[in-house]
Amino acid sequence: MKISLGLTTSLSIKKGLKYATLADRAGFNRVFVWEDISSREVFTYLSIIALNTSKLGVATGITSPYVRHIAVIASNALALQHISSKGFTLGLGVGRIPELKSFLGEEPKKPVSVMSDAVMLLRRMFRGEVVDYEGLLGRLHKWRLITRGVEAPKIYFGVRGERLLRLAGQVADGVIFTGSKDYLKKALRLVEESATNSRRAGEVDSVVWECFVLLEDRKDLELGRLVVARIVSSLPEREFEGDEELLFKVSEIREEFARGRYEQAKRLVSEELMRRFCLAGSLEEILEEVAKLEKLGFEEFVVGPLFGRDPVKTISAFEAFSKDG
Amino acid sequence: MEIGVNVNTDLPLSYIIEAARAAEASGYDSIWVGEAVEYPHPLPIIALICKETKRIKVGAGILSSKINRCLHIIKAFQTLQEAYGNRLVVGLAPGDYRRLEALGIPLVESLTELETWVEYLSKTQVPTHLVPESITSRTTVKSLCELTNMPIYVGASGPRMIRMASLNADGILLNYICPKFVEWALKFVENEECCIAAYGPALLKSDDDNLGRLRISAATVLAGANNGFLKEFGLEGESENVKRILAERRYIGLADYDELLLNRFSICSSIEGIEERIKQLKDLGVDQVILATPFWRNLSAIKTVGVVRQRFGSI
Repeated sequence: MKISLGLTTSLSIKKGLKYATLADRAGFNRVFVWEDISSREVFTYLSIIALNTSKLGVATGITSPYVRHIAVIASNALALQHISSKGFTLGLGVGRIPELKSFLGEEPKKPVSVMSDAVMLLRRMFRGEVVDYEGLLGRLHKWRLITRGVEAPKIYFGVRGERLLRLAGQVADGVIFTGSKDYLKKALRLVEESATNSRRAGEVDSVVWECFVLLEDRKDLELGRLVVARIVSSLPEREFEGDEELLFKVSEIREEFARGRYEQAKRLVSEELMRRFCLAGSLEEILEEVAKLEKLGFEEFVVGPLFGRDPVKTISAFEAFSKDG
Repeated sequence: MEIGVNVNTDLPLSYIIEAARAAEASGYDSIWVGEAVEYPHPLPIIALICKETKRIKVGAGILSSKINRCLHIIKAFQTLQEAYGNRLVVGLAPGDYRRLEALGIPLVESLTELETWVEYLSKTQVPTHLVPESITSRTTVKSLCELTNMPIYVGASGPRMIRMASLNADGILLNYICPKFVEWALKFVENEECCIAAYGPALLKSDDDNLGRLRISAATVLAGANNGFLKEFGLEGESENVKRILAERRYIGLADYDELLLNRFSICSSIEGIEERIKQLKDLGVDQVILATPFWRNLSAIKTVGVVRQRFGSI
């Protein structure tokens, strides 16, 4: 089992670097950085971390082909793979629809085809092939990425929805899963089934990026509730299909959240809901949950964000475990 | 007078690190990382150079505002500034026409788009049609863009771009290194406060190994030169010819244009000749000279020119 660190670009680079350095020393596997598209630039953020750590791999978790030209993604990925001593993984996904909509001025169109074309083009570019392409991602005319022997970065998908998960099973090197524990189980099965059908059984790495909240007292619990309120508010309704009670609760939380009444939203989060959507509890309880997920077939676990009230303490708490792992 | 060097990202990392340290130790004022999207992206390499040096200014020279989103460029430099302090310089330009063509990116509206962004960056005002629509994003972008103390340069070679850059940016990266061409370009500068940098291919004359690369760099500048400039100096025919040679990759044919490429589109000279050229440019009002590729490829040239850097500084 591997333990990795999760950050987002909305965290200042100084803090990001502090946590990454700590994770590096604590024996974490790698750092995944989620690109908040209205905040810092993810490739630069990861470069700074890669250059200031020695044993930690680096990964986007995720960036979207809708927000950059595919050739820019490729050349950034190549540069990061080049400067990172432990290697770079390109986590790719459609991205969160509301943010994308505000960024692009429209809904992202044809996500399955876009992701499929993106992977095909990136793989060809990483192999140093001359690429001619005209399609959803624009046009490339006799385009060649000069790789000079730099190993092709792995491409992971961070996606939701049946069609995208099936595509991940067909073409991705790994999948970053996030969601409720019920969802994780179903999503992993879909990917595995698709990988098997594509004769790629065992070739797709599985990463769980859940919210970890180390609970030591009541204040941690409050913080965890707020995080879960935010998570469930951003999930699509289909996530809760078949559970009317949950659907009703979530719509209430969402409404409070939309009105900016975070305290009220937080109060609606029960402990049961919290445990369903994040790994919360004492370190022993969290590790027990992690062990259950590992039994299901998940191989890597991303800690944070949010880390609880004291991120340094949370990261350090995983030290012995990540080294053993 | 400041002296800078340009590096491209096609070199081994160990060499880039060694040369960056040598440039800083030799007293150069700046290192400018060029963008060629078919090679590793400049942003991680800029981060690498910042990490390996302490004081020298580090700039993007240039990043294409058409290939990259200006928003990403801003955010990247903000991130670098957060980590490495106030020694970064943003250099923007639409980019090389051949690359834009190969990437299916039309050149239309380049100047207007760039003007809006540069204006935005210098005044931290939000260009409403270029930034995401949501209020949240706009606010976040604005709060992240505390770039008022980070110089913004614009790469320019034609009258309109030079004029726009002089009015809106902190500096202009003139794509000319020949005094006659620079003199012409300076006619379009409308703001005397704007810093003028002459940015062109350079080579110490003894460095025969890189002569072929110098020809290609100089030819690339000529091939992508502004139409008004070409007309002014009667170089339309030569520009078309070298464009063809570059497209067909018949680089040997560039030697036929040595007089033009080595004397007027680059500095190819002895140490004394380089010093003399810098003096001429200084007399015209140039504030910075950037010795562009392939100069960086020769470590001993970096050190040699660096030895007399103190003399250049007092020119």
